[in-house]
Amino acid sequence: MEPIIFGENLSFSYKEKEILKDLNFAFKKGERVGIVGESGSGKSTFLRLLAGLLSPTEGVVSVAGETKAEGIIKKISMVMQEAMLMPLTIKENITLGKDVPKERINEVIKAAKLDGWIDSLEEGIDTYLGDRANEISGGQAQRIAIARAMLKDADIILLDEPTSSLDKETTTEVLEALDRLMEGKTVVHVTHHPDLLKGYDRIITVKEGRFYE
Amino acid sequence: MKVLKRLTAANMIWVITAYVCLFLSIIIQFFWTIRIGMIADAIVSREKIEIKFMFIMFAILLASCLFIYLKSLAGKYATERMAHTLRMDFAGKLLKSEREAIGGYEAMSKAQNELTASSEGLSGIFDVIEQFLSGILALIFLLFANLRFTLIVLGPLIAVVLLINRIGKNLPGLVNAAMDKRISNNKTAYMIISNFEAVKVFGAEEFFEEKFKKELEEWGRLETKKERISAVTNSVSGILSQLPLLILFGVGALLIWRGYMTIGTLMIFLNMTGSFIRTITNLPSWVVRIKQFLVHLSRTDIASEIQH
Ligand SMILES: Nc1ncnc2c1ncn2[C@@H]1O[C@H](COP(=O)(O)OP(=O)(O)OP(=O)(O)O)[C@@H](O)[C@H]1O
Ligand SMILES: [Mg+2]
Repeated sequence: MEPIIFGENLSFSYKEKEILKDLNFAFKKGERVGIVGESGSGKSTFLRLLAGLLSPTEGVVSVAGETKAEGIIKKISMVMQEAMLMPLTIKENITLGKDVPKERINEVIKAAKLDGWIDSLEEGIDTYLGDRANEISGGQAQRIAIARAMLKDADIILLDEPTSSLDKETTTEVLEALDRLMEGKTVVHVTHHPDLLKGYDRIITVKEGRFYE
Repeated sequence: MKVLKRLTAANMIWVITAYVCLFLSIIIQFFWTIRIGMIADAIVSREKIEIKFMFIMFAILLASCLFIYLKSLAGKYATERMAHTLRMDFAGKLLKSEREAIGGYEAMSKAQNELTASSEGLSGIFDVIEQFLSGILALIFLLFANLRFTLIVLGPLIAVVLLINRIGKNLPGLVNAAMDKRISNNKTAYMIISNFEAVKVFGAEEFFEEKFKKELEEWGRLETKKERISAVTNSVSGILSQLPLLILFGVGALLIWRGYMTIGTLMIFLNMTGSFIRTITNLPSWVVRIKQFLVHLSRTDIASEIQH
């Protein structure tokens, strides 16, 4: 089967500093790939290349048949370490201005396990997160980010340490929501915790700009 | 007011120096004006002007220059010190707060806007007080010098002030609304920058662009309205402020022909009244400015409390 994600002689540099060197890789559809490695080894950089947020300095990256950044970015969904909440309502934070039917929003809210909390709010989903964005818990914030990612319903899910800023208990809740997000998708998950990668198909270690499996 | 008191107390010596110099510079200007009137009278009556008189004029001129210089120096220094105290207070509170340095874009964006507005306001306030003080002192002088004549001129003045006051009534509300919109624009811009990746991944560029454009338009609308009203206010007040002078000239000429007043005295009156007219016509806008300044200043306190 044709791989859904692959790289050929892929290199990436910030200015003169070469971060990723001549990588060749291929991920199959539905595969779960874990990426580990020391801080600064280039894990996030790699994920940004897969997301179409960066373009390779040399070589090719292909994601769901797209090789241009503008094309790639449409095919993926992403959850990062920071939830990236904005001073908008909960609903706007999830939809980011897109016209989405109410049922669909309720669906992702349930799947992201946000329904209990949102029901307890006086203004529900229309609660403004302006100054309160730093009052809501890290777990809640991250689950909003997950709901946002679910709504995009891309075939490829990219995760960049989505639980690393959370404590143990919240991590469990967020992981449950993440499981729902990853159902039936191709997943690339960057993390410092190999125990989060149990049951993954492949685990790649990034070291000095190269991949080791 | 609380904040202003604190800032003043922290820089008391400079504030006092600034205001003493200010007071003296105004008084010395008065002496100068009076002397000029005396010269005019001497010229009209073809009297000889003594050398001693010219020396005194020269001394007054020197003293005047000196105090104007000292006043502006001390004023700027006091203002800068107060603005500095304000910023340092805020920075100190920020450091002590438990949260990350950025306690939400909104709080930061607001606080920064308020701090800038307050610092600008501080230097504006000194100018306002200077003009206000010279107007009031001029009025006191006029009342003592010629009570009846002054009252004749004051009548139309008060009418002018009332009129301008009416036109400018909804200006303060507009100014506030425009400022709030500016904060909100700032917030949207900052939001896009700091969440750039999420904006790109979830294709929210248009949403934010639309939001930004809307806010910009709203701000533009308020700003235009504000400018339109203040343009009308300014031109009307410009025309009307000439009216009392016209009255002064008319009445003055009459009194001179009848021999009740000398040319020199009229010159002094024109000068002093001019200073008072400026104060009276500007008073409403000054009050607005000071009120706004105090609001900004008090908001810097609120903004820093949000951080805790
Ligand atoms: N915008 C940039 N400009 C220049 N250098 C950068 C930039 N972003 C990252 N780097 C550098 O690239 C290298 C790889 O960064 P990257 O964020 O990919 O590491 P990482 O493996 O994700 O680290 P961590 O585990 O700490 O998240 C680092 O040395 C970093 O300093
Ligand atoms: Mg990283």
